[in-house]
Amino acid sequence: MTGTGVGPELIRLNGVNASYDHHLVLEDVSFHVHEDQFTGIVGPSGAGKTTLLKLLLQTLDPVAGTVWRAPDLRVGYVPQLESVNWNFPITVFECVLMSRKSSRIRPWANASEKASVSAVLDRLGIGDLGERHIRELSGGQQQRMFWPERSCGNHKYFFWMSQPVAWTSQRVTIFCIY
Amino acid sequence: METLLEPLSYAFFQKGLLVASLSGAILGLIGVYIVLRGMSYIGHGLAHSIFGGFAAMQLFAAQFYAIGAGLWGILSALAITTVTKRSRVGADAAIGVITIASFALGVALFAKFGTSGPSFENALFGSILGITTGQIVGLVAVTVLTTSFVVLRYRALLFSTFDPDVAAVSGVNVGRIEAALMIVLSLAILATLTVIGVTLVAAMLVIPAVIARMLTDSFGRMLAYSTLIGTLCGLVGMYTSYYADVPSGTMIVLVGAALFVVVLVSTGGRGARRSAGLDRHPAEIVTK
Repeated sequence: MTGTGVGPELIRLNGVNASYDHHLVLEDVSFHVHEDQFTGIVGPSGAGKTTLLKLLLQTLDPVAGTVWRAPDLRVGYVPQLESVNWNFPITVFECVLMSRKSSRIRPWANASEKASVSAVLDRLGIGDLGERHIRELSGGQQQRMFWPERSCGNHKYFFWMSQPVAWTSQRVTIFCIY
Repeated sequence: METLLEPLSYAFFQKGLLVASLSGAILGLIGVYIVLRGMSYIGHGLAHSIFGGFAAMQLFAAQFYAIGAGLWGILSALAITTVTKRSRVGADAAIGVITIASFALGVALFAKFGTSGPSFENALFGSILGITTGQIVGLVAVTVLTTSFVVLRYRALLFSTFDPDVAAVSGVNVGRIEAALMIVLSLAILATLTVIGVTLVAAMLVIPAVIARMLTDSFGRMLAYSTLIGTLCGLVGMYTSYYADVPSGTMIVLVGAALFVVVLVSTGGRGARRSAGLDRHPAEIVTK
């Protein structure tokens, strides 16, 4: 871990056990992540890294112990490239647009949304590839497509990625597994 | 021109044409999600399952059979979802047991007690005869509902189809979206059952979507193409069914299959490559 570790706490695990079908995968895990901290989890295949992330994301409930998350925490997620269906019919533009909340009834992007998505694509260095299919991007470009947008507002942003191939300079809390 | 206009002088054909094109459109629209989520077999199973409800309700109240069949279908859909999520039974096995058992029950009820609604054969293969105003109203209502669902929940539906895990992390209520999709699918199958037929509905969920996938790499365009292709299959299938004097569902599906071959050949390797990974849906990829 790097960082001062003195910022506000974002996530805390206390004596957590996790299991699948009564088979214990994680036992008595306790740790905490603070704001502006960089955390890396390393372990062999099957060690429980993904299980740990599922607990943090609260998509898996612990069988014992507690998982606490800061109430206004927002989570960004860059999936493993191998786990994405790169044959899915979707353009780069559509892919970035999809994760935005739409306040309007119509599903397509209005002028300001188009401009804002284009700005994000420009910043990621893939501004001219919006109409391309996601498969046509390079590995690094594909991963960058999922990076959180800079406009996090006043929310705390917890951002995790699996097997990152490149780094972002954004000031967000990063959690990664290998 | 005469060929196109002549059948239109019959009221039953006008109704049939309307119902077939609307059916093609909504199955084409919702089929995109079904195919991309690898749920084609669920569509197939649900159609068979709804047939059980269809037969059972006729014993009690023929005029309410649509409601009964719909409820039966929705319950089957929820049963499949629950069984696959909560137990070690795989999705394929769960669908196989629940829906085919329901279909078998329907066949048994039909054989024992006969029918006061559509004939057994019409229910299986589709018919344009005897379409009631009530059915048309029902189909229009389901079309409006399906379209509203797709438009209003467009991004959430797309996101949860693309990657349910990432969508859940990003704040999409994936479970609720899935349940709503199953209900809309049940209603769409029910509303189109009489024209397309129980055994052929699944084909119309799959064919337009696969053809559309071969034509484009954009999700928005795939939705539009699939809906148009479904409508076209309904229209052309209806005319050919009239002239060939065979059940409407069979011709609608055959027109779709013919179009599939034409598009596959004309797009060459590109179309085949695009549709190659369609069954590699995220649910299969996610590991523990």
